Amino acid sequence: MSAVKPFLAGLRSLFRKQDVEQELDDELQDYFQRAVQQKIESGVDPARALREARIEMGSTEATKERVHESGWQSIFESIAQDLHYGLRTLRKNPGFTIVAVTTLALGIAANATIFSFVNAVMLQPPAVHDADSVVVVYGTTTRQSFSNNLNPISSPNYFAWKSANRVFSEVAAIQPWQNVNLTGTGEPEQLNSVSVTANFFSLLGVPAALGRTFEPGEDQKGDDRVAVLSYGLWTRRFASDPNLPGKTIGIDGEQYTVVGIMPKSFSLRSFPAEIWTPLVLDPAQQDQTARQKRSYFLFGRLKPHTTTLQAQANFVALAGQAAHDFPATDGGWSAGALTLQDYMTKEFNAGPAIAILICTVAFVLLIACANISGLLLARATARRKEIALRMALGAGRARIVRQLMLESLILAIFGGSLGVLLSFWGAALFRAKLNFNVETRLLKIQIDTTVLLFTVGISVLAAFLFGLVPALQTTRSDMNSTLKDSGAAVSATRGRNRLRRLLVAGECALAVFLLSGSGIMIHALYLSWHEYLGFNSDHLLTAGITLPVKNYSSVTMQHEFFTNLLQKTAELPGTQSSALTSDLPGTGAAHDTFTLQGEDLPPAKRPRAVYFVVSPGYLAAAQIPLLRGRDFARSDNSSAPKVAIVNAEFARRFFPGVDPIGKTIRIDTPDPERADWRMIIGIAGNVKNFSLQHSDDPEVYESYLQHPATAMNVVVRTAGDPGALAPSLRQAVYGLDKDLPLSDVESMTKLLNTQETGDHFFTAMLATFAGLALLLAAIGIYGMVAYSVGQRTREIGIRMAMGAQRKSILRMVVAQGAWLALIGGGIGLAMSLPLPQAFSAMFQDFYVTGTQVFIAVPLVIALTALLACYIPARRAVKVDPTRALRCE
Amino acid sequence: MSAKSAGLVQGTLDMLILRTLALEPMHGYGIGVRIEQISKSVFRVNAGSLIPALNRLERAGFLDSEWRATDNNRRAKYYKLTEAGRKKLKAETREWESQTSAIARILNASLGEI
Repeated sequence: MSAVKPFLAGLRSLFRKQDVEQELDDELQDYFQRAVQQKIESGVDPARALREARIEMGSTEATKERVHESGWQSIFESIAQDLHYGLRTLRKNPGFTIVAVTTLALGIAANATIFSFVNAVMLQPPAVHDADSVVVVYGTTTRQSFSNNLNPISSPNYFAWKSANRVFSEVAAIQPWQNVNLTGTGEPEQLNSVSVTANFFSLLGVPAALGRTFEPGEDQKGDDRVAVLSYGLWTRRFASDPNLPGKTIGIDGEQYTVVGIMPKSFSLRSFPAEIWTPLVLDPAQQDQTARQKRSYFLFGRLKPHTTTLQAQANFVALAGQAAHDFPATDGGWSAGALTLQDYMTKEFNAGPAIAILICTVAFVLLIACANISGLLLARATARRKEIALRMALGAGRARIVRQLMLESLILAIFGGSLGVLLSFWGAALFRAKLNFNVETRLLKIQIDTTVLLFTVGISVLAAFLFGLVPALQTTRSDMNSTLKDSGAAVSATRGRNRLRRLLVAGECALAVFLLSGSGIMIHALYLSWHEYLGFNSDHLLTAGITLPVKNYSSVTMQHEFFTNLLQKTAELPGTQSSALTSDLPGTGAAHDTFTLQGEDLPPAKRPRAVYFVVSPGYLAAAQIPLLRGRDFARSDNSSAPKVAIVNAEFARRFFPGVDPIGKTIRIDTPDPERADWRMIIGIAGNVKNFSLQHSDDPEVYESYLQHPATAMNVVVRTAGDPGALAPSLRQAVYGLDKDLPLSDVESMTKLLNTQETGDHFFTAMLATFAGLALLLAAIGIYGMVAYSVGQRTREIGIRMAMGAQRKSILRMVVAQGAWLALIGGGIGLAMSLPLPQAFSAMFQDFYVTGTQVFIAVPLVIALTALLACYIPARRAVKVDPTRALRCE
Repeated sequence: MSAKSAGLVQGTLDMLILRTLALEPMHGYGIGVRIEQISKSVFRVNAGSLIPALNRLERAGFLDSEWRATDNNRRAKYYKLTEAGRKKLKAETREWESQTSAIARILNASLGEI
């Protein structure tokens, strides 16, 4: 009541102004007449009564004003007035307004664009029901880890933990990153597939868009020939056939019934799938072998009032129990639990890059704000008479500060709006550039409500950042001296000068810091692109091939196929050599633990090596140098003694000072029956396993003839364009098995390029922002020096009239600017010194050095600052002294 | 407030208005006259301070107003105390009494006590 009534009264005053005024007039009129009447009644002469009453009443206008001021609507009205005034001021200074708005728009656009990316990676919840209570359980290992330590777990642990955990109301298991071959209709095609237990979709709470998801029991053997398709696959491959549910499709040569199509919005970035099939796990077959096969992730729905931290603690305890009960297989392993969203963020593994981008754009915005602050300060000097006059007429300091802040806010709103428009383009650019793999394609980078709110927030923040100090500074000046002063001041007031110097030095510091940071990153990335990967990627055609175990059940059949394939590819015109490898070099590879002969460490303590299964001749085809010993031969087959080749890094680490050839090692493959002791027969050159890797990993090669494998990559060294050979390679495979698709038929160069697209884009962005920062800083320094020189025209005139040389004045002005740039640059350089170390910690396996950058960047800034000072200084000394003296 | 009442403690006018209206609803001029009469012309309130004060009190919810017909075919805006206004008056009176008695004690204290 007490709050509502004044509010309503205020609204009435705003919108029914006429009525309210009329009523007040009536009341005052009534009051007046009663006063007059009273006086007449007490015997005063009417004319005198009228006069006396009028004197007693005082000014009715003043009374009305007082009534008016007591309501909140008067503040509202005065803000509207200020707004009107502010808009008019900005319109009258188009140059200032355009520069300020554009500067701010660039800064805000950079921030909004980066934030739209951050939003897509970290903030958008996955499209599942009540995403906060969906948790992913994964394995962690204390062994040397090549990735972010989010590992699958084994099926025995799934069964044990499913019943033993106390935090989930429901548990599902998935086996992600599978490849299946879509066969039967048209050309065979390899698809990303995920096998899931029947309750997976109901746990997520996502119904099918068409048909249904899996029903209980469909993950049992015999009932599992059903599939759910992604919206994308359904539209692409099946022309959005509404009658598809119920029909059968061929998967790896078997008939599956399509039961449903998922909605378009449903995708889990970390577990990409175009098709989902039931995961069949037999509780009876959870033996020691199954414990070593880590292929599954657990999905759990948290019970009400249970937190992820409790889940984490529960699963760490369960994994500890497993490590205690099964030390041979589970020793050294633990578990972790993260919400689905956090898991996907961590798995995306862009934390350091995101942190760097956020810092960079924040600094760009800071520099933009410093620029606008400088402009406002310069303008405040020009407006000081107007402001002093208003204060003399009774406007309070608070009112003037509010007026100035409102102007800043208007600038921020315009800058922010323009920035958002630009960021639509920025987000589109991000989408176009970040489509190089299945995971980045699933990012939803867009300007949504969250991004808009963020933009509004930083715009307002920016307004305070650049507006508040100039506003306070402007209104602090002494009104008397300002009004008396006819503009003949020789130089600006000391306080304002100090602030301007602070801004120039600050901008230099920020610019040096920002340029050093991005310079170091760009330098490091550039070096790593030109790092020798250990093999020759030119003229190398690659393709993936996965033999379905159903059709190639025996090792003999697999060997026969691959041997035939090698023979056929060798005969293709244009082929120089061809070979097979389980993983392509430079694109990430599998790794496993191993044992050196004579050592017997528990599994948790065994060393790790990257591990390839290849065909004889692979080293020659990829042009990996064989440093010592010999390559595999076709005679090194399953009946011959088992052999292996290691790389130079392996020899250096594990056989220091000893010849490794002739020594034996044993690789712990997931399949313990195939773990044999193997004699080392050769040493190969080091090969990088990531194209941006600086360090070398130990590597081991085995021959496919002694280690059966179903998933292989064909590499073909060609004489001419590798792409030209692709159709005949497809033809060759088709001739061997018409249901077998080739995946990722690509030249090695292109494959590496695609893989590096993200880094190239990251570099391009850093370079863009660094360039933007340099430009803004240059404009800012130029603007402030030009302005202060302009202010000193009279002083310069006096100096010249007194006989000072142009040269010495020029030197004086430039020296003052350069001095500030030097101090600012020095601070920025000191701030940047720890950066190389910080970056090395953020990006492992990455060679970071700052020396060249620390020399180059200060030079660039110094030159920029000198130029920014020199141009206005030169203009100043060209002015005719007689005119300068008269200048106001 | 007129020169005579310049020393009137801030906020006291509000209390006087509430007290005057506690007897019966009244229009602005009547309130002024009544305050002057009762205070034996110590306080003389003019329109310039009275009307804004009435407006403020009405907005705060302590007063209600309505236009009523008066003698010789005129209309006047009558103010009336609301329930909130009655409570406010009670609280203000209590506060005022405790303050005045405290001041009185200080003023009447003997030299030794000070």
